[in-house]
Amino acid sequence: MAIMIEPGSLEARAPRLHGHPLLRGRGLAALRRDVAVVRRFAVEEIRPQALALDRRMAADPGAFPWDLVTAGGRIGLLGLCLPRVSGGEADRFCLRTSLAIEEVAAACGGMATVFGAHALGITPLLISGAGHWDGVMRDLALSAATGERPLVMACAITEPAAGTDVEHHEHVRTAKLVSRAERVHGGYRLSGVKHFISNGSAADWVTVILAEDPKRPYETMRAFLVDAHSPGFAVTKIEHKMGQRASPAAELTFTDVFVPDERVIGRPGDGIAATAAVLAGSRPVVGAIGTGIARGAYERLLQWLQTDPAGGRLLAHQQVQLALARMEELVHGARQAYLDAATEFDMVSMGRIFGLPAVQALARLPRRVRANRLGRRQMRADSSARLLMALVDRYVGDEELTRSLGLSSLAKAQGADVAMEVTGLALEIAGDGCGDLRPELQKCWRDAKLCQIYEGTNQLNRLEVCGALVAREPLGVLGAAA
Amino acid sequence: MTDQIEAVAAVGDEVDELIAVTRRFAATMSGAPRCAGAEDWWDGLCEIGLERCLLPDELGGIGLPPATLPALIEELAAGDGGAALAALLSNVALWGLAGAGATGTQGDAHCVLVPAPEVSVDASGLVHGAVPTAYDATRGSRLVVCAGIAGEGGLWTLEPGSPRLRAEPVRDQLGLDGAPAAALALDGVAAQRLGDGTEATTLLHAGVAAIARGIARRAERMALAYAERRYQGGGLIIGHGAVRDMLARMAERRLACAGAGPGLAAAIAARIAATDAAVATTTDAVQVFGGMGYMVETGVERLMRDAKACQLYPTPNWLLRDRLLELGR
Repeated sequence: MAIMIEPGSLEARAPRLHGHPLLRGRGLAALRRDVAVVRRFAVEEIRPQALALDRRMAADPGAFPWDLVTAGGRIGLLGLCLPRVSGGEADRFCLRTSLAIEEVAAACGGMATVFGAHALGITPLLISGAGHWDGVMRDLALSAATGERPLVMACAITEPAAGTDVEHHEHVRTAKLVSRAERVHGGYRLSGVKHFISNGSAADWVTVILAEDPKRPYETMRAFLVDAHSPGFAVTKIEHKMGQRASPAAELTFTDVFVPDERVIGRPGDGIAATAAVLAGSRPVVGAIGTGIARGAYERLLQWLQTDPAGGRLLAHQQVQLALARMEELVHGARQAYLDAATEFDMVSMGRIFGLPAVQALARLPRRVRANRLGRRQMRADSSARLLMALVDRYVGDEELTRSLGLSSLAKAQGADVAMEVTGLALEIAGDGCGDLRPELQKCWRDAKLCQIYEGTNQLNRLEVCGALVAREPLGVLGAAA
Repeated sequence: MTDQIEAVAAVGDEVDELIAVTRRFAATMSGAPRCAGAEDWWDGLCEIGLERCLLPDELGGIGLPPATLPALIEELAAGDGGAALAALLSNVALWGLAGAGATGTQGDAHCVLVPAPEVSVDASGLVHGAVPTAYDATRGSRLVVCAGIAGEGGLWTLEPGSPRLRAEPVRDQLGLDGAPAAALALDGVAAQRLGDGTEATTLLHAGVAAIARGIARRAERMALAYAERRYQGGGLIIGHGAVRDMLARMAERRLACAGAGPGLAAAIAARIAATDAAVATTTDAVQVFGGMGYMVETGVERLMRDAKACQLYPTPNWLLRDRLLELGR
């Protein structure tokens, strides 16, 4: 029995991309080209190093894969969600980001999380309005293009006593938060601890989600852009993880870290809506990571079955053929789920805002206008955030955001479960006599488990799906700001 | 009442006491860094007699009937799955040697069973083939090979120190690290036939089932304890339906996989059910712990890897199912 190892064209894997409204004109060809570039990088650069990187990081979790991150930056993996105005290419970014990340995850789940966590750190800046589209975001784009060590972002949400709670708009009301932001002259002082922060030990900038009053997180949560070189900022622990070791997870301690007003993201009280919007855009990416890890295990198994005599003997078994069909079915379904969620985000939910003429006009303002004193004042967080949230209220609405979050949670949970099932099945089919394939499949399986946990556990995500898509209860988070 | 429990009851208080001692011993292993001080726990295990408990008194054993072994192995696995596997492999190897009247079982000889589905033995009694994952083999002074998926190739003791046997440590061992694995290459290693491998295979699969049950028990206990102290969503997570469902399924699987009946088919069936259940339970245990479960220091992810290693050892479950069908025809 001859089997095809190559995954086929983009449209063959996702026929729904034919005639996709976001890909009119030369859009599909451009997307095909972008994904092919990332795939080549993943296959030629990441995959050959993935297992060695995993071993190295197991021995030294404090290391960071700067060579691969720098090379990835050169082909755009650090600018996946940067808008054009900041030097990126992503006015509607979720679809493109998800497809690119699937390619990286098929080579190494941990590297996908490195690039995904970087994008997660940028997203709050992006959706909080044009006030942050210059400055740090532009520096990020420029640094990635130089080919030198790029600037890297992280997003810090989880606290030791509040993991799942801070990922859910209702649970956050009872979250046991310890960290807090205190208003001081000219800005805020942050104190507390965040843990399990992907990229946290390597990031130059960290987007930190904090409450001004830890007892009233729903009303007072907001985001802060923290320079990782600030006095009082410290990496206090780096975790030893089961898998996804290429992406270090750190504990970050804030001791009266000063954040000036211009680095405060969004308006007071926008935090819950912003978190929901960020998750609506980031969970399809996690679904893509799960899909990619599953595909990576599946492709490795196929290659072995095709090329190794022992594998060839197994392929004669109908049980094996059925298992392969099941893997194909699972990977295909998970991919369609994240494509739906990404399309919803880009077309109907938050992504839609970036295509509106008013936002496009803002983006087209010459840099010298945005950069002068008057321009800077107008573009500051509060005013531009107010404009953006007004547009969200008008063009997106709570119902659309709710549905978008529901579909993204569905894609995340499905992708994660598919990653576990396919990697586990691949290990079982290959058995003990598959030589060098065995540690690669084991790594895929260890990597897969994290997908069921981060960005909210799968259980929490499914409760989100129930609320949003089954009961169709609006989140009620828009318009909460003061 | 299962066959094992009946057997345990038959030898009375001695086994009950040994199970209690084993439980206390296993408790001292829980949470210990894997492989660190491995010889310490092996010495402790030998002091209790757990590595040779099937041998008669005159050979330094305790003389327990084979059906009691899974109960002891399960207790040990609740402390460390790798240690339990090491004890299982030692017992089955010694039992095979003693049953054939072979020498080499006395004193502190460390004998290890090597299940080898893919090796063959030629007419001259030379063993050929490869064993990709032979747990604890490099620590053994004498190796006993069980050839074929169900022992149909016989039970053989290898000539000690043969230059035709090469062993390479397995670099990325998935789990059960208490029994370090090596890849063996056998290029015509002289061997002496001990007999049919069916009984050894039966003991092996019943033992692997017991290890899986012990690992799952420990995971369930840890998850339950964590759920009773972790606060999320406005209360302790033991109160949340999502967590309760995972914990309830752990109990359900534990009760459904209580033990094996007599014979090879029952042992294979028990092993398939118990290892699948252990993978599900340990994966859910990591999930109950959330991010903490994914971190090595918590010790739960190790159980997940140990359970997965059991599911694949020495033959994956899908191939064993095929054999189960043949045994029943």
